[in-house]
Amino acid sequence: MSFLYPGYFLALLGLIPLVAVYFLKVRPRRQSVTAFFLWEAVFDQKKNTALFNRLRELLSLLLMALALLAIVLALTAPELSQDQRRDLLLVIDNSASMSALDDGRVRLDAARKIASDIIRGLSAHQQAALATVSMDVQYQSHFTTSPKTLMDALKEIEPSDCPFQRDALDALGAGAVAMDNCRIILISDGCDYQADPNTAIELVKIGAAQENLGFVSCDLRMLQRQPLQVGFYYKLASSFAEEIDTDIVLSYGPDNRILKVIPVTVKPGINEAEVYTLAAGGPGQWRATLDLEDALDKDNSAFLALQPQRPVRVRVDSDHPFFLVNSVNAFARTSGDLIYAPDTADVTLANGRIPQAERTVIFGLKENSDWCGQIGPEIDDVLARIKLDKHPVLDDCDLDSIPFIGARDISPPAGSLVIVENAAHVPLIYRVQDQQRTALVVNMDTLESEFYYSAWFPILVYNAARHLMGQQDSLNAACATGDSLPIPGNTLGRDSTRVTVGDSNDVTQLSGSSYGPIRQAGFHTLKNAAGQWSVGANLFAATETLLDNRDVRDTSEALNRGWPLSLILAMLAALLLLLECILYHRRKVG
Amino acid sequence: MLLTDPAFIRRLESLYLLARKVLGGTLQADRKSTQKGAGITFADYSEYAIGDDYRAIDWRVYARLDSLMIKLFELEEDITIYFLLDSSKSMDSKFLYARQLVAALAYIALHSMDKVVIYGMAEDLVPVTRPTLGRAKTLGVLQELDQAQSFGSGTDFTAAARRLCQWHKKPGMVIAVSDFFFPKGYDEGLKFLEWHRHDLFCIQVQDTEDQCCRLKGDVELQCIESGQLRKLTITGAEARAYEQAVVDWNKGLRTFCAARGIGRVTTTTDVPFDEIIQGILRRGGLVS
Repeated sequence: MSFLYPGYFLALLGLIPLVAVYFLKVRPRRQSVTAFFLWEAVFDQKKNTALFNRLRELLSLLLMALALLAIVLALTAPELSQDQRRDLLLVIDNSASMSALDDGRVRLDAARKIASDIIRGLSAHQQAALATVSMDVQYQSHFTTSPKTLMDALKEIEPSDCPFQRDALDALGAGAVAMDNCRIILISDGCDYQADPNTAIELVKIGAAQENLGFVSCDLRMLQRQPLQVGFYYKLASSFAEEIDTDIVLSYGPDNRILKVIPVTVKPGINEAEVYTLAAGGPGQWRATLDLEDALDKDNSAFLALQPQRPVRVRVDSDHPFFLVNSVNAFARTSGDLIYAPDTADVTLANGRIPQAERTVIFGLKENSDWCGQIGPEIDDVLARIKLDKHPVLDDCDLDSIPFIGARDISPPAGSLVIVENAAHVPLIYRVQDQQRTALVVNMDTLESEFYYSAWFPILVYNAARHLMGQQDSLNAACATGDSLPIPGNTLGRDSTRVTVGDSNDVTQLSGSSYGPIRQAGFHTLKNAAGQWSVGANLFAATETLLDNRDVRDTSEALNRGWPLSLILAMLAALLLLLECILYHRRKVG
Repeated sequence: MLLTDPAFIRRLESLYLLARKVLGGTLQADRKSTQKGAGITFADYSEYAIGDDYRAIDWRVYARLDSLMIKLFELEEDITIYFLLDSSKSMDSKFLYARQLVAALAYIALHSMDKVVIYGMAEDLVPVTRPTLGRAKTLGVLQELDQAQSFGSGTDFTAAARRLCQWHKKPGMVIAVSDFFFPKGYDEGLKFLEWHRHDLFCIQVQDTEDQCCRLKGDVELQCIESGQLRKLTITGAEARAYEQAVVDWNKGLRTFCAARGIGRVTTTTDVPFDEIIQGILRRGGLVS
């Protein structure tokens, strides 16, 4: 134990006059009574209080001496720990795993309790700030010496649906080097945390490993329209020691109508992904729920939004339509995403021709048109180079296997989006757009290159048709909290997008081409000029689901917590004085 | 107020007039002897027998009935009234009131031709007046009563009763005026007097300080008679216990007197003394 102001021990000299006053016995007032023998009879019946009455004055002296001692000790400001009283940055982990239950108590509440104890233990000159961390660090209060400001900020902390991101904390720890005379105290369950010896972050660990089971990945796809087939992809993780048999309840629509109950057996650890096909439901909002009670609720449900998409109607304008028509029909027979419709088409497939359609996929451009500048001779260098990586037109395509034989030396119009080109920057696949029309030009001779026989031909047709209809930009059924999503139909970021979350009527206006990072689990609906899309945001993080912090050690050093000892001593002194007041009152007025 | 004050004596005169009206002039109206003898009050007729006083023959009856009948008269006894006035220190606050009560009763008795003796009582018996008879002695009795002082360092009622019986063998009427806070008890003394065929009447005089406890907190209680000291802390519970003890003590006296046919009246000093005397007279005198 150390004392901040040991000089106050001199105040113990006050005991001398105190004892002196108590040894000068104050004689009680004398009162004559006529029936003295009756008084004796009354008090003889209360012999148990006689001892107390005899010791009462000694007790008063003892109480006053103890009160004085407590006050003097409070003035010396004793401290039990070896806390150096540096400024504190309290970082509370509010990631999803902090919503787990530990012996019936939510971990975040336990973290709040520890933080409040630390705040109460601050000295008058000690500054502290409060921050939360999940996917990033958010400051809840600035550095202050005011415990009330810190307590108010502490009350405002809400649990997050996002997983813990080590990067955010690492950045904070690295920044802490610049914060002289400041300790960073992380209050966390330590899931997915590993102490970095190079950073000055001290971990106050809360909670122990718990048994939990949850989704770590989910998706929902329309496999086939006629007859309807919906594919449900899921991946589970479990921290139970043994296999768990449970059910996944799939429900659909705003009224959560149960469509299917899927029995599953979940092994310890991260399980293999499974796909379940069902012939029910349709586009709209789906929920998958695990039917069990465990430590963490957040990962027991998954929100899934199956996008409403109608098939792309395609017609063919070519001297050799056979392969083009068959490539469309191939998808019409399977997924139903493309339909051959010669009269009411959305997209026109052309080979060697220039149709005046709104959306056109053109193979083998041979003459000057709006879709090209000057057309030169065939080029020799047909080795394709991807200019726009991960463009949706190239999804699932092996570009190295596509022969661009017969490609011509084309100079694309201004504003064209070149996707694939050769080493001499001759465009091999590019997208061009005027005010009302859009075309995707594939610069090759399909007959000469025998591309019709290639497996990538129908895939390229499929990708191109859907890309021109904007369907490839559509969102997945589900995403993880913390993800950022590209906004469909707004790749250039020119339009504004309205976002609503869940059943809330609050609308957020977005500008830009991406939405996120998403912090809240639930259904997020995006609406702009190009259409409306929904996506289900979920806690898909195995580290959060497994709740495994067995290897994490508490690294916090000496830290004063709880009510200061001085305050406790002052309260004790007040209590002792109160007791003495009661005794005094009893002496004076009974 | 002096007991010889004219205003006080006028109040006593009023009480005597009331006594005459209610009790026929004597405080001992119900104390007439059952024996027949040479009184003046006609009691009954009886057949004449040899040896009877022939002066008592009613000749009018003989004329009507032709039979000798004699008149019988009530035998009037000479009754002495002994006043035991508690003169201990505990009566200090009630002493004047007690003397007023004694004065009133003595006045009526003397005017009724009863013999009166007044004793001061503490741990012993001290005469206040000598045995007195006749209304001419009234003022003297009042003067002596006026000069009576409290004395002693305790009250021993049993000893006082023994001493009275030693001094006066002839039974009479004993009127004890006291707060009856006798540490050694009252029952033995009352029994002793009763055994010596005294008629007893108790007048219990207390004041509100006796019955209610207004003391609170730390006090050093001192016995007003013996001077004994005791340090106490009196809380509400103790105060209530004391008041209950007083109630129980008074109830014990009441029960004791009722069981033995001893007349008793209890009063406090805030009740005018003449109201108490009027009450006694209206109930038929010093009867149980």
